[in-house]
Amino acid sequence: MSSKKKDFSYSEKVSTSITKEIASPDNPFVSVKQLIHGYDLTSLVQERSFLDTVFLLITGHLATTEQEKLLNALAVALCNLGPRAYPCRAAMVAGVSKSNAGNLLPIGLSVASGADGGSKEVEESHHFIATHINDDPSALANELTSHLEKESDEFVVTAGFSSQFKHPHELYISLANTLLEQHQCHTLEWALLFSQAISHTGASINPCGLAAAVLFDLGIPARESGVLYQFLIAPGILAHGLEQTHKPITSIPFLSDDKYEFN
Amino acid sequence: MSLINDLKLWQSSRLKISSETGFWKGGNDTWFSTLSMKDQVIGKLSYIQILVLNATGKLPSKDFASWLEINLIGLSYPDSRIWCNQIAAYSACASNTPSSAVAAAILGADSRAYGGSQTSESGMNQLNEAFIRRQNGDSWDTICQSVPNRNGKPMFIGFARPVDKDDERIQPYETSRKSLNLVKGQYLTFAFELSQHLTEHYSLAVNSGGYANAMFLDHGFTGTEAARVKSYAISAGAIASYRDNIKRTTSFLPQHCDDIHYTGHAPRELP
Repeated sequence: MSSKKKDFSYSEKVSTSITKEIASPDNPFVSVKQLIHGYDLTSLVQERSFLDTVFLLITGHLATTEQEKLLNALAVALCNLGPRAYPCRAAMVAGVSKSNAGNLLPIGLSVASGADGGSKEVEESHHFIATHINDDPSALANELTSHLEKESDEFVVTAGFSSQFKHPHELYISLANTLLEQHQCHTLEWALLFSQAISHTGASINPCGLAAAVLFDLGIPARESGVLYQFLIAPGILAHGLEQTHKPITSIPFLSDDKYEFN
Repeated sequence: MSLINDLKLWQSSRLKISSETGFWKGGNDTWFSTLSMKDQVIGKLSYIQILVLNATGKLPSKDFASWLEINLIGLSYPDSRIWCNQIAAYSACASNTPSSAVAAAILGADSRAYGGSQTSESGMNQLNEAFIRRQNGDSWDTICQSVPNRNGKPMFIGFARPVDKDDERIQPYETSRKSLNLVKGQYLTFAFELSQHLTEHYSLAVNSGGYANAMFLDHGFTGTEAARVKSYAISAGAIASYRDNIKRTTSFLPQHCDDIHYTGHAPRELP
């Protein structure tokens, strides 16, 4: 094969290591059985939880009981970022302005894809943790915060660790501590020590850092962790967006001209 | 400092929008930057000029906007094999709305590999760096060694076209550039020189993206600005694939179960 052809040759078939569909003997387009990483979907329905099956889909193996419980606890912690979080707000605006209900989740999740509060931040936070998990949290905090300007309006120490309106993410510190009380999670323990060590800046662990730490501990890679974060925050986006679809378009503010400053 | 003072920045923008891009005064007029829609925009500026103004804050000349429109046509191929268009086709087969299909296609083309948005930013940054290196006296070999390498070939974004498949858009781009009296600037000149070197040594040549990146640089735009201008550049092609499939009685590219090559674990029992 020439180098030209080698560079631009495409596969004849799509390949996947995740799903095997067994065709109906009567119709090759129709499946009668599905295997996920070798396990029969029917057996999974009978014996495994939803999040265990999600874990299987992402990692290729079944979660241990403790892993499943930890993932479930993280899912609950992240399931509702609240109506002031941008992904929820986007879905709520779309809902009240009569976008199709099926658009709400894609809208909210696309807003939750960026490097500031979204999947990209989780991915970057995961990389940060992977790089520094064996470092002393206090020494690392000193190194990373010494150059930050004290009068800065907002601190982003690194992905997953920031301030919120000059204030620590108190709710997520509390949720992280609750997770740690109930589960073995070495990475989250380290992340909370680091969070404590940067507290003089007003910064702390944030929802993305919480997700990155727990998913790192569960052995889920960085890119997968980012996208799984979007999946876990979806319920709150859905609920808030859907609620607004039942309300008139006038039920959220539309700022008057005097509240709009054009420079 | 009191907490209220500490939060002054956010308190001042609570329930208030501050904008540098424009202003709609209902029933009166709308300002696109400082331009009045009624007096200076409608009938005087093209849609592409407004797109660039809104995306970058810079009002391009009518001639450059006309060339850019041709570039956007070059990203609007009505062919459902193209990845983003394929997404629109699937969306059509699922009886989605056209907006949903095009939005999905746009997200698909928000890609490091193609689509004109991310690739404009990365390609223009890379081209500018290579240009500066050349200006500073670096050899072509040194410049080629400064970029990622794949299969022994330097990977310049916008120059990955194999020479046995010339990019059919280059000639119309050149013809229209000349007819619009747009000069061949230093970046476009450099892009063709780089293309010639890549052709001679690696059987690669400039493609549509590389040409457009050079044109944007020659007209004073940054990669970040070009990425914004081209954020939905593929939409006209995507909507064609939607139209092609929304009324289809058979599904788009139907697959047998064994059309998917399974490479995973053998069947196993749950523990």
